[in-house]
Amino acid sequence: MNMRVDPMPTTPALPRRPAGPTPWRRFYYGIFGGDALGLAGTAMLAALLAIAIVGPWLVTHDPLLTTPQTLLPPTAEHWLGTDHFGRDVFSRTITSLRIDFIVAGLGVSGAILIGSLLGLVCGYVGGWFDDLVMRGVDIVQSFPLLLIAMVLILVMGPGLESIVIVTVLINIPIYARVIRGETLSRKTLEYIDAARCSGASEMSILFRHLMPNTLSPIIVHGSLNLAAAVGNVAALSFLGVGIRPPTPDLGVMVAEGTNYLVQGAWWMSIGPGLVLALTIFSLNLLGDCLEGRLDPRRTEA
Amino acid sequence: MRLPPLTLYILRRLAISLIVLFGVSAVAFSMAYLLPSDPVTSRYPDITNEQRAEMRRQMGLDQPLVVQYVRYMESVFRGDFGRSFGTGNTVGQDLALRIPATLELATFGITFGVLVGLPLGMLGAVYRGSWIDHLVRVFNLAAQSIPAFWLGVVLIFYLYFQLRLVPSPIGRLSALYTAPTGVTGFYTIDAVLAGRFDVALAALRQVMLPAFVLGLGVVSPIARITRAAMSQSLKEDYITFGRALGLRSRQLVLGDALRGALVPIVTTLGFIVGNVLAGAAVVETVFAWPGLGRYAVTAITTSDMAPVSTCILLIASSVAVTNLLVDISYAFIDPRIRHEYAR
Repeated sequence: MNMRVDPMPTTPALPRRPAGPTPWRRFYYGIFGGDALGLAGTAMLAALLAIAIVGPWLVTHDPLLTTPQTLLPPTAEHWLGTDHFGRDVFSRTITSLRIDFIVAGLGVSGAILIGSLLGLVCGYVGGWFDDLVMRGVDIVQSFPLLLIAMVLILVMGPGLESIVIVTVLINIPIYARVIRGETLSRKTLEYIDAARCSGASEMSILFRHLMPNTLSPIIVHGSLNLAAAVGNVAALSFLGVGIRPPTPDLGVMVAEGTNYLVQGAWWMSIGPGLVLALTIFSLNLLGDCLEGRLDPRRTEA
Repeated sequence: MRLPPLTLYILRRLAISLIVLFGVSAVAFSMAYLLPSDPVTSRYPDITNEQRAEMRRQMGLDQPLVVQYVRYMESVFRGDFGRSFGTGNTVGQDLALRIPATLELATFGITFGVLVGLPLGMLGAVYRGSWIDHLVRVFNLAAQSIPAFWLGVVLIFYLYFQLRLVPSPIGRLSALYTAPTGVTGFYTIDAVLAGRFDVALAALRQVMLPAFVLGLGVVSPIARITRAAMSQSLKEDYITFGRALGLRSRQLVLGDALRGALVPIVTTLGFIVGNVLAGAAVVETVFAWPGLGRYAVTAITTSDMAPVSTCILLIASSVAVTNLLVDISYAFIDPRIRHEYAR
């Protein structure tokens, strides 16, 4: 492999910050650090979220209505064709996006809530409680989580609630670990001593002085984790234990489509999967951009 | 007798792995125990309640959970993993067929992922901040974002149903060939050893597509860690010193900087093995690959207790063993760490 290398390590070009801070520039450089990819990801995510939110008014057909017109290719009437029950694939895709956002979003929010609380207490209190929780986290993280998620969903019985609960459970360790580290590194800082000297209670130090400072790692890990959670919910549904038919879900739709590829009905799988990939991609773009902003060593250096 | 520090370190690391494995086995057993099925009912669907109670007593299912767990572990140490209700075979027989299938798929997949991810990460580190770096970043994020099951379906549709470029995506070998028997269980290698190059080629064509889908998930983590670690090692004094001596850039990047970045890369590789084994469940389902992952998925959805606990135990143990090997390998990769132990 022929690789050209600069003779000296060059200092990287920092994003050029223009002189006059117009509102647009303040937005672009302030939040995204001049990272066009982060902006693109956010725009894409905003569009997908908007589609998911106004979904019920956007659908052209009832997503659950079966008709005799099965396996129609995309037409002006059915923009993404119809499936094996004659249901409109476009309407089902939009409804699925909404359901998947809600399920993954609730799951990740729950994990953030419980995980960061655990991490906060572990990092602050330390001792045997910390040891116990962290060894538990080690064990959980050494498991094939997709398979564990399948078992747990079957144990709790099918349903959207089970998927949300399982998403919460398998993602708690991520936040417990991150927030514990963040708390550990902050609790010896001077502003905490200052707060204690001015008579702040332990509770107040924990929730008013330490917790707000763990917000940025939560946002970074939250967006990357939400990307993974959306993918996992779809994968579980694809494997037949997540969201069950007839409730529309992107993974279920791809799975149903595989049985009709022989007949050339590509539209059943391609569209829903593409929406799923774009959703995960936009979340990853956003998370990657924020990660770079939060930890400048990673991108600049 | 005083043991050498490296041996001592390996022993201590081994002890920690054993403790983790113990926890893992307990969880794997409880997982199977929790499954919403009764082994007696699934084997003998129409028996009376009295017969069922009698069967449960004979099989020891009326004992407390702890007693059952101890018995289970006893039989596991004897090499007896129980019997699958689904296939009718012992889990040991089933796994003997399926583990090589998954290992072959995973070997091809991880090799592909490393062969693509490593150069990509190095490009990103060397041309940091340039358009090449940004291109690599977009590619990585895209590779990480495409759901494996969807990519599999799309590729099957275009490359098989439309273009007929790949063989029918069913299993390890098309029905036209008889599977080679051999020591490794890798169809490609066994066929070559048997001198059947046509069979080897057919097996290779069969494994290509699933290995690509599985390997694409490996590209992004490898490329990311390579970029980060190489950027760090390119800034080390020994690289600057090498440059000052006038050493060739190619030698510095491919030799010295890569060697300096190897420890975090190998760490990530260890962590990837676990991901790949779990991710194989999805890929094997799409490509009807008769491996461990699909076996586990079928067992879970049919509440087949013995295979479920064995598969979970097996995958988690492989993760623990890989991590152990990774930790030990540090000493051999990096002389600085070896030096640390020697003191």
